[in-house]
Amino acid sequence: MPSLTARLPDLQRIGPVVEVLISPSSILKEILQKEGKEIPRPVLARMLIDTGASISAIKKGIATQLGLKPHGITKIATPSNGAFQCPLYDIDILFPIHHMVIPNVRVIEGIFEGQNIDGLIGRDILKLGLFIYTGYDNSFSIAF
Amino acid sequence: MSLEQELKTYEKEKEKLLAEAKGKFVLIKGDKIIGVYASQEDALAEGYKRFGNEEFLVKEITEIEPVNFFTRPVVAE
Repeated sequence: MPSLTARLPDLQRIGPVVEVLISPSSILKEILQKEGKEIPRPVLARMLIDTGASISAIKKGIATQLGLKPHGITKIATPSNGAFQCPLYDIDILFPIHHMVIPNVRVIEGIFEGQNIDGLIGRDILKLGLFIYTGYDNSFSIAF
Repeated sequence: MSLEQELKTYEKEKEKLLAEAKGKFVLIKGDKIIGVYASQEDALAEGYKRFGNEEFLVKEITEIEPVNFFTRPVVAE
């Protein structure tokens, strides 16, 4: 099982953050390839692993940058909003150094101003693997 | 909002879809139901094949819509 372990100077303050590449979903890439169309270049993103998010999210603008259109709808609820409908985008998430790919993930677009992150890795991805948060060591590991 | 027409179409056809294909995935474009598929991947692949990278809706056919929760703000207040 490929894994990633990171040690940060202040894990409590920064949180378990990983750099990933976000690209159009494998299904779309396959279609674009067959049609001889250009596949948009992946976008580098700083993602917070967030066990408080039931699904994953990317910063508003990344979907447009990748030329993605919404192909789903979901209801979401946050501490300050009641449940409301939100479009879903299909992406692949690649952990570049560790060659771990999570294909065909459905994400919402969010606003993360002032949080120094480009998105959240939620429990939809965590359910596929193993996540260990070792607070006393300022480290965390994720494996798929 | 994006996919507004597709959602209206889903709501209009929901009872019929629930009776015939609960738990499966429906592909909708505008006011047309294109098909029902066993998996989300199959429905998406068919959507891309027919419409390219345009908007279309792939949705699980469920009685109660699940709500996804976030413990931090992810949308503009």
